[in-house]
Amino acid sequence: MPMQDLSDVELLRRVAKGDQEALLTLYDKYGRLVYSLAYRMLQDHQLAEEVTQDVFTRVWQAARSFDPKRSSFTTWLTSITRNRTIDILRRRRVRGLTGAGEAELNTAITRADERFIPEHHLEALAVREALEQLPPAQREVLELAYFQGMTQREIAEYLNIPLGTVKTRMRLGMMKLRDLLESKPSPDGKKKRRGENEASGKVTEREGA
Amino acid sequence: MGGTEEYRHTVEGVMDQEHVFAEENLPAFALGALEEEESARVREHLKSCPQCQATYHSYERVATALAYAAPLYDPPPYLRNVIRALIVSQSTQPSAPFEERGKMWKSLGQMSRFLLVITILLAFGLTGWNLTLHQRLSAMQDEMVSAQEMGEVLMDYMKNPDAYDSYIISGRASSPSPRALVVRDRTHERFLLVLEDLPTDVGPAYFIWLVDATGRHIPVKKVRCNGDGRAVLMFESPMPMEMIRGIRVTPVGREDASPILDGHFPQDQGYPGLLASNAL
Ligand SMILES: [Zn+2]
Repeated sequence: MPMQDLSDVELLRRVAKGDQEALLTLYDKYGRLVYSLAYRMLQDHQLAEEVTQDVFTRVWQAARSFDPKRSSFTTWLTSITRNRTIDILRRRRVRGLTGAGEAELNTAITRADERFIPEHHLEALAVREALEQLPPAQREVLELAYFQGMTQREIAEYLNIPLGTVKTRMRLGMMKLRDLLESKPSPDGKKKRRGENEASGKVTEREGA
Repeated sequence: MGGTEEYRHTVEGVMDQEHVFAEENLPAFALGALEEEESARVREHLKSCPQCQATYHSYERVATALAYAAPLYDPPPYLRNVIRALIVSQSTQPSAPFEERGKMWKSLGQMSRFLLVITILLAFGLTGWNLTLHQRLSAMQDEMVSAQEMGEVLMDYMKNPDAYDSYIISGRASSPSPRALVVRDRTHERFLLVLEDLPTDVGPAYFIWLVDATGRHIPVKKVRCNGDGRAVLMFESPMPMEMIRGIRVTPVGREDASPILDGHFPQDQGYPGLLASNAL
């Protein structure tokens, strides 16, 4: 079976045994996702490159510790990417810098042609479509948390609104997004399953709760 | 958290209170948006509550999906080579946890590590460079990972000296003038590069290119030098080694400008210690 037809879990199992081609196959599949996520968070191509390097060397080193029963590979991969990137963002915030200016060292960057990447394209379309359907105030707190690595408290300070409002918006936004995405297959092809005993209707927005 | 008052003094009450807290905060937990103490509380509860675990996984999938909302960009093509080189250089112990790598190395102690580095420098005839030993040592202190890699090369070099060629490329006659030590490891088809006195005014990052027999330039790696204009790196050859005729170094962002280092291997390959031609 050609390498690119193997499942992520199988590829990772091979990576754990020291198979370099398996790691490069995972890179071919997900390098763009990792790089784009890091770039979205850092707005700096050079740093995004460094994060991507770090993430895949981390996958190489830690493949053995990945447990497919606990999460999907993409969940694991994106959380490594976010952790690494959030470290950089926090350091940047401590130094009092906001949003990185694009370094003049920037090299030629090509915008990916999304027509040629069907799996990413489908996933991207689904999540963007779902985000579009959220009230802008809910979308905003989700994006600040996910892409800026801000905590609820930091978001409240940043937007100058009560912490309770942030909490409510985040909870409602995530619930709505989950409902919207649930009918669609997840990136690794597994059908999404709703947690038991959950009635999304029972929470109503309590501003400033 | 209404309705938990009457249970406050019972175990179930505490459990219930934790369940309510977790349930309310799981979406933020999945986004990593809780404060540390809140996260710890949710994490603790998750250990013992299958219901919250299931809910958490559903939000975790939502968080993962958000990654796809980022506009897609192609990483630069050389990044794949860089990653290949990085994993090849770590291949002695694939997948070992971070802490375990280099354990043997650590046990040699700090001094031995430096001794090895000095030895490798001596072995490759670098002592003539106009850096005092003290300067060289303090520069090395920032480069433990590279020093470790170099140590590995040295050990291999001692076992198998015929498998290595070393060259020196020197740059233009300005001051400071950049220099590169190039070590070709033919067994593992990899290169070790020690760059010194790189100009720091053109920016800290440099591209390393290989030049093949047709004169094509293949980007292999991007490096940053430290404040002293020094960088040490190792990379796997992206093509059969005999096809590689030279190495050049250009400042990132100015790939079209003349390279600061440009050396071609002598044609009678395989003989160690030859001085490469200096194109500048
Ligand atoms: Zn619970």
